[in-house]
Amino acid sequence: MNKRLSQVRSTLSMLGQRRGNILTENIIFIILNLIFFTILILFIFSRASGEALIEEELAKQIALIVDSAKPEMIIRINVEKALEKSEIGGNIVSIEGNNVIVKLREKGGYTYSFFNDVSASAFPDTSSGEIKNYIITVNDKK
Amino acid sequence: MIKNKIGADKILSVYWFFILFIISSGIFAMVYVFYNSPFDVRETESGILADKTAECILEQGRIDSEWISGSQIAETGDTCQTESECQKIIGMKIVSIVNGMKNNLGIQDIDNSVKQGGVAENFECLVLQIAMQESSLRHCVEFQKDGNPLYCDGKREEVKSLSNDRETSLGVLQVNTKVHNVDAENFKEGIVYGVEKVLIQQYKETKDGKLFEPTNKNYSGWMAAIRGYNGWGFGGDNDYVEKVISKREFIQSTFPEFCSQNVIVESEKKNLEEECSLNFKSEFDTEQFYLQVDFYNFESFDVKNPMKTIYDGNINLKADCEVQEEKTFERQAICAEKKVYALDENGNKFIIKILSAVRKTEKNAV
Repeated sequence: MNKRLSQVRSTLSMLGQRRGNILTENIIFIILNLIFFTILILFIFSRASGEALIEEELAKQIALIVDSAKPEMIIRINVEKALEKSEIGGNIVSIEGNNVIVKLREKGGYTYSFFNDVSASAFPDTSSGEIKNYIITVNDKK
Repeated sequence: MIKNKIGADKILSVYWFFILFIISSGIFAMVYVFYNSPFDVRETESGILADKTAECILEQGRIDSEWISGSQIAETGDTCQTESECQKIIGMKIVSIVNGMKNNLGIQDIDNSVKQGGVAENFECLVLQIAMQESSLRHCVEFQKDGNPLYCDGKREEVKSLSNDRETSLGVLQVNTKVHNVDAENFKEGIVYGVEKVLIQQYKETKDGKLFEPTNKNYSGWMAAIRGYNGWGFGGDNDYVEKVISKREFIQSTFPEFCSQNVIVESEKKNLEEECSLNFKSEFDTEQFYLQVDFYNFESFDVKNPMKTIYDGNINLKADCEVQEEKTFERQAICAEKKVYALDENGNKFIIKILSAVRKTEKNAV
């Protein structure tokens, strides 16, 4: 009878220890999982909103707009997202010859050419104080 | 049992992290590849290029006849009185048809090959020489009726023919309708068939050499093709090859614009870049654009046979468009094709096909 009682006590004490272990392990496990997924999401977001990506997107967008444009057109394009990422201030878009250059970083930048033989220029729209847009003007080559 | 359970849980969490690691590596890799590949805007770009060209060539659906001037079929309305005038008209039509076909015959540098073969100045002139030998450049029984050298087109009883036991040869190229299933009374159909299914097929089959048993002579290259055009058996013209080659001088003097020395009848390279306010310079060293405009007669539209073709830009990109007719290869130039209808000042109807290609692969697909 005593032997049986001591067996029951020892089993109960083991179960108590096990409950403690399970809780700690689970918490560590959940934290590690959270860290893992956080890193993953941060990585995805960092890639999706990288300066290089925005430079390329904006340069190609402007080049295609100029390709489709006709002389005497004035096009306003929103560049808020690019300006948020800009490391060099507001002067991020320039057009040299038939190349659109978008530069958000000191070391970097993206160039894309357009085939429309027009004289195009780009400058920030300062009409509303804070720069949100760029204005692209398209004119005949003199 | 409880001990085993704890062991199993630990193993399970190790596996869990292993699986998690594999999944996250996959996601990392996918995200990295996706965001590291550039945006491919070439399809849009080539579409815009084709649209701009259409706008340049047409004004409110009307085409300036300057764009189509110089094309042979544009001169369809020409009439003739003398035999030599009619030969000239028929010959120019042959040149136009053959010129439209020759890039699709599967023979590289065909003009040079014909010239090297010593039979004619270029491929078009070889066909003219054969037509001269076969029919004296005449499709109909009479060389003209009411000034029209093609008055008989499609009317079998009025088409120049040779009929005997072994042949019923019809039309300007005298295609034997007893052997070939073709309505050779139709001027164009006869030429297309005679060139593609007889001359070219013979060239492909016998260019490496074949013995002509009636004279025991061995022919190879284009001479074998000419021999094959008349047939390899007994009962034909044993001197046919020599007779076709002897027509070279006559054809050269009658069609100096196509057949004088070193002339190659090519699609016309036109400065579309300047005429349509385009600028093909780019951040790359080589030209990254190709533009081709084919003009077709609406009434006799045949996709293989434009009445005039003009092009500009890097012609090497044309091959990229041809190989991508069924499947797109993103590392090659991306092409766009547009077809538009147009009228000229005289109310003639045309179909204009515009093909544009943009390469810029390094910035769009790598």
